[in-house]
Amino acid sequence: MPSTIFLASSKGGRGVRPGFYPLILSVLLMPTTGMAAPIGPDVQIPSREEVVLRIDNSLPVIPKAERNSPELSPAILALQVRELIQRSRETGSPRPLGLAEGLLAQVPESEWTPDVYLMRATVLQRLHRFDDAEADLERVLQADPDNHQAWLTRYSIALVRGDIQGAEQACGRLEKVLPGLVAQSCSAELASMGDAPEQAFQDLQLSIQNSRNAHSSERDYALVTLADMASRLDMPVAGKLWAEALLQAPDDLYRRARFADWLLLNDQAKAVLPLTRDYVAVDTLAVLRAVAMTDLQHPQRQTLTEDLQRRFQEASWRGEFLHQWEYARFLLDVQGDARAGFEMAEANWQTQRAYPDRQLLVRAAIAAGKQDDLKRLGVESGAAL
Amino acid sequence: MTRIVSILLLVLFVCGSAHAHKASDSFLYWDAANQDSPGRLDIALVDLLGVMVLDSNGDNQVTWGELQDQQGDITEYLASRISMTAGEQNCSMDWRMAGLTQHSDGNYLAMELKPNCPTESAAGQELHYNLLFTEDPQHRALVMVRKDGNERLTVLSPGQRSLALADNPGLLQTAKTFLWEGMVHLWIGYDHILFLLALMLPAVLKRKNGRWVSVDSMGAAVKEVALVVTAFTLAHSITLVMATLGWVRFDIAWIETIIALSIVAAAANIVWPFLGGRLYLLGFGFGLIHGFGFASVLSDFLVNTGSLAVALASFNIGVELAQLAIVVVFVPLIFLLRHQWIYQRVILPVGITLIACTGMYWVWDRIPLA
Repeated sequence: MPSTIFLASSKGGRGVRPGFYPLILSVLLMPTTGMAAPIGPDVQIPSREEVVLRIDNSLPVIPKAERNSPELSPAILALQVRELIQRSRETGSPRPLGLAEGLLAQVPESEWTPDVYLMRATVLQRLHRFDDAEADLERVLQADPDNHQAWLTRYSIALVRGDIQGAEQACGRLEKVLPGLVAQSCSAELASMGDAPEQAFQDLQLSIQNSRNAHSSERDYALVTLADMASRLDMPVAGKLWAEALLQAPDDLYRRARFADWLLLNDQAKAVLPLTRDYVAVDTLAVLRAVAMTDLQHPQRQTLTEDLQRRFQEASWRGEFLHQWEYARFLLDVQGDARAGFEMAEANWQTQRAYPDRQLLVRAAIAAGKQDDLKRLGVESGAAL
Repeated sequence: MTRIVSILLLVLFVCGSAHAHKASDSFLYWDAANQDSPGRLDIALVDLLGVMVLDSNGDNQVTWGELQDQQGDITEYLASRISMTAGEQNCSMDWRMAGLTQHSDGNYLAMELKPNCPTESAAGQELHYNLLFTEDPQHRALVMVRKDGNERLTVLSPGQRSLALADNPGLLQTAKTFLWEGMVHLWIGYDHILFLLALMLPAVLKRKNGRWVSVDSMGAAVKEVALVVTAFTLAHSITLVMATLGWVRFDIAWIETIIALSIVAAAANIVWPFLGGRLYLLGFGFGLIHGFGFASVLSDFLVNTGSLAVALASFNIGVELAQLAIVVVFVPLIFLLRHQWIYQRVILPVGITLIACTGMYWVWDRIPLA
């Protein structure tokens, strides 16, 4: 209201000169309009010399200064998107995926090769847009029915979505187009969900031992699959397998997180601290660290908890929640809010149905006393644990 | 080679739970009550690094000094991607580097912005946001708008690039606004009040044959005042409507002068009833002129409203309510005081003199003669 009074007073020519009376009125009205605090977090002015950003490989973006912008042919496009996916994987940041989408939009889809579609499928998969990813994979496979990477991607998406039939179909095709350790891994993984899980585990273990000549990356993939299986089957050897897998690729965030998760669920919270120390920027590892600190009553747990709360608050504001698993875990094991943890785990279950998702859902349901809801969701608590 | 790379890529497919940091977000805060800089944009330095050269000396670190030196480029970049409109017209924007702030994933540059829109009212103002969407379709602006003490959160995305900062007000809002404006303008444009006072004073104490004669019944006094005020209201409503609808035109300077003159005349008429005892005729006659005065004020506010009838009616009702408030306070007061010596000998003569002198001063001040 004071603003309209000033506006009226600027007319002049009648009564008191502009300013005086309106001033009194606006002072009188001030308490009703309130003297609110500035909006947004505090702002500081650093000294000129203060370093506000360090540029290194851990950054999720490639600085404009370092980017050359060649004519974007489909081949170069596919390569650049691949680099961005790689950067997302190394840094654990979804930012490069958005940049990859921006890059893809620069070349008309009419010029795209199957390779470009394959890269977009990978980006979409990372963004949890599984239907769109599958549609792109379908395009790739129509043009190139033996494209083993497309079949592998399809397999992993089917598995994450809990689509066992789709996973079996993809794995069956893989055995034909890429016979070897990778195909053996997927078939053992699927077999381990059936009647003889231990047998499937031993089969894959044997296959790895007998494939000394296989490429190291294939052996590595098989080893991670084996560790996954051991975790799911609650075998004590899982810890040793995860440690071995992490040693092979210390920069890989996935196996680091799975190893930390396994340690926590096996009462070895102390071992999680060194494992996650340099990775608090990565939500998954930061949450697992916070769980460990909570278990250990660590003196610094409060700081990390507050930091994570802020991250999840921003993610909720954004609305597109990529880290529902992490948030559910945080609510359940750090905040001790089983009900909210179960709700978030259930929301996560709508898109992701891999073993860690199922495991968290069941734990949260039991903690919240919502076992009946598991039946509604078609999850059997015994089978998962 | 393809096979090796594809296998490497594959590992990350197994489960998507190892994602972290966060996607690109900027933070846009809007608080219209802060008139110096209602807006603030926090943009991640990492995002800025992807679209601008920030590390000018190439030492792989960006200092605050380097950012300050780039202020012109940064401002130009933001201005090319963020704009504001008020209705059909563009607003210019002032950007100012406010400092450094932190969000969950690191350092952000805080930029303050102030729009300069053609009309002073906020009606129909929209902010258009096109930052980083081309480079990164996953970019979002997380928006917090503070209004009337409440904070509203929203998100701008490639599918939603505009933010309405003030909607065109609805009918109820228009009615409320103009009712209030009507009341305020009777009170702060207080030449109307002086005129009313001069008309009401004789209702309790009349000048007859050089002597003050008090009115005996409250009923008679109220009846007299009601008649005067109703006549005044009726008259100024007629001219307010006529002027607002553009049926008659007037020179505001002369209107202002005649209004001032009406105050002098009404004051003089108390002592020497040269205009006659029928005050309602006086109220009606000068009320016609006062209506033009209200119209000139109302016209300033009508620029931003689509519902003229509601605005006009509400404004007029506001004026009447304000008048009524004055009558309710003033008439019982002078009725109670009418027999007192201090009222008859001091308050009344001094009051009349002051009203007349103020009126005369305004005539002198307003008369549009060189």
